Amino acid sequence: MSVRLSFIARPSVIHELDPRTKLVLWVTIAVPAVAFNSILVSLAMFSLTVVIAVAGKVASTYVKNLTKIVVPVFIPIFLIQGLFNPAGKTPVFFILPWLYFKREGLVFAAVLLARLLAIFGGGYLLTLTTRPGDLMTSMQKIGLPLRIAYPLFSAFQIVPVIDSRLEAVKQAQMSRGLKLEDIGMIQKLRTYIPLITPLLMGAIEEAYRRSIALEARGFSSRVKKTFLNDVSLSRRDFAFIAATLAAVVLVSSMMVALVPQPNPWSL
Amino acid sequence: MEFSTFGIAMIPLMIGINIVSSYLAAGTPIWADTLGSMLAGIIIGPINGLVVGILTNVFKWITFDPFALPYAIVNAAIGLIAGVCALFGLVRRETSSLQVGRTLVISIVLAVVATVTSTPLNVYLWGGSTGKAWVDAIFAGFLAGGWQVFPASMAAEFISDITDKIITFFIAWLIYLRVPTQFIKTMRR
Repeated sequence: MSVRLSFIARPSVIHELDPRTKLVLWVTIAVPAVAFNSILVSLAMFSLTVVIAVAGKVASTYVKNLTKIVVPVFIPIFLIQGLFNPAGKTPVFFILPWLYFKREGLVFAAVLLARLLAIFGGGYLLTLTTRPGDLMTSMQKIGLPLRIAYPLFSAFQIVPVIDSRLEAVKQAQMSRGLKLEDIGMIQKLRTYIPLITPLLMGAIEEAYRRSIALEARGFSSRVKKTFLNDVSLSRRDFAFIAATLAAVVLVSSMMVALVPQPNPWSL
Repeated sequence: MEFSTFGIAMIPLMIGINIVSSYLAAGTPIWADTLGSMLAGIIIGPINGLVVGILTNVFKWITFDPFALPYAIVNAAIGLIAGVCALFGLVRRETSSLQVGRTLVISIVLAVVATVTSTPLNVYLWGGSTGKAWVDAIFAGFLAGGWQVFPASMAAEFISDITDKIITFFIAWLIYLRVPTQFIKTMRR
C-alpha cells in the first residue's frame, strides 16, 4: 500500500484560487443537489464540477477516478434497488417470473448516483487542485487551531512511515516463526496483536521524540505564528465565487422550471 | 495529557495505525478501521480519540477516498466512547473475567454507536448499501423479505458492526494489555 495524494500540480486558474474559495464553490454546488433532490439538478451540478475540472486541467483524472470508485459500488446498488426496493412496482426487465427489475427502484438508484456525484464532486476537485499545505494554511485562517492542523498535516509524512514500519515488523515476526501467508481468517485476525503492538510502542516512542522536537521549535508558544507559504483571497476569488453562484442559481432554477411538477425524476 | 505536545504528536501516528489496520483487514469480514481511534481513546483520552477519528477520515478524503468525509462522525464517535469508557476505569490492564465481560459490553455499545451514526449516511448516500459484499447481501435479503430500506439497512449494518466492533475492540484491549507498563508510565509522566 502506498499513500498517494489526490493533488495534481498543474498551472491553472483553479490551482491558483484560494482554498477557501474552492470550499465555497463546493458548498454552492452541493446545496442545490441536496435541496432539490432531483436527478436533473444533480446531473447539472455535477456537469458544473466537470467544467471547473476542465478549467483546472484535471478533467481526465477527475472523471476517471470517480468512475473507478463509483462503478463497482453502484453495480450492486442498481441490482439491490432495482430488484428489491420496496417502492418498486412497474416491471422493466424479467430475470425470473418472480424476480424482475422495477422502474421505481432503478430511478431511485440513478437519483442516488447523480446526487452523490454532485455532493462530493466539488470536494474531490478541492483535493485535486489544492496543495495539502495550502489547505492547512487556509483552514487555520478560518480558525482551525494549530493543535488540530499540525497532526493532520504531519500525517501525510507519518502514515507512509508507519506503513513501512509495518513491513519491517512483519519481516521480524516472520523470522520468529509467525505465519502471515496462506492462513485462515481467524489466524489472520490473531496476527493483529503481534503486528500492531510493536507498531504502537514505536509510535509512543516516536511521539515522545517528536514532542521534544516540536517544543524546541516553539510549538506551544503563545506568539502568533506566521506561514511559510501564505494564501490570500484576491479579486479573482470573489469573481469566481460570484460566477459559480450565478451559474448554480441559473442552472438549477432552469432545471426545476423545465421539468413539469410534480417532478417524475425526483424521489 | 490529551492536548499536551505529546498527545498532539500521537495523533498522526494513530491515524497511521487506523490506516494500516484497515489495510490488514483486507480479506476478513471486518473493517478494523477504528483500531487507532480506540487505542488513542483508551491510552490518551476521549477527546484525543475523537480527533484521531475525525482526522483519519479527513486524511482519507485528501488522499484516496473522495467519499470518506461524512463518515468522520462514525470514527470520531468510536474514539470518543472508547475513551470515555477508559476514563471511567472500564478498560483495565488485567485479564480477569470481569474485565473480559466489560470489554464485551463496551464493544456492543460501540457497535450500537456505529450503527446509529452510520445508518443515516448509508441510507442517504448509498441507498442503504455499505460497500462490503456480505453486508449488502444481508441488506438485500431483508429488502427481499419485505422490509423498508431504513430498517433493513440498519439491521444489516448492526450485524456487520457487532462483528467488527467486538473483534476490533478486543484487539485494541489485547494490544493495550501487552504494552509494557514502562511505556504507559513514561507517557503519563
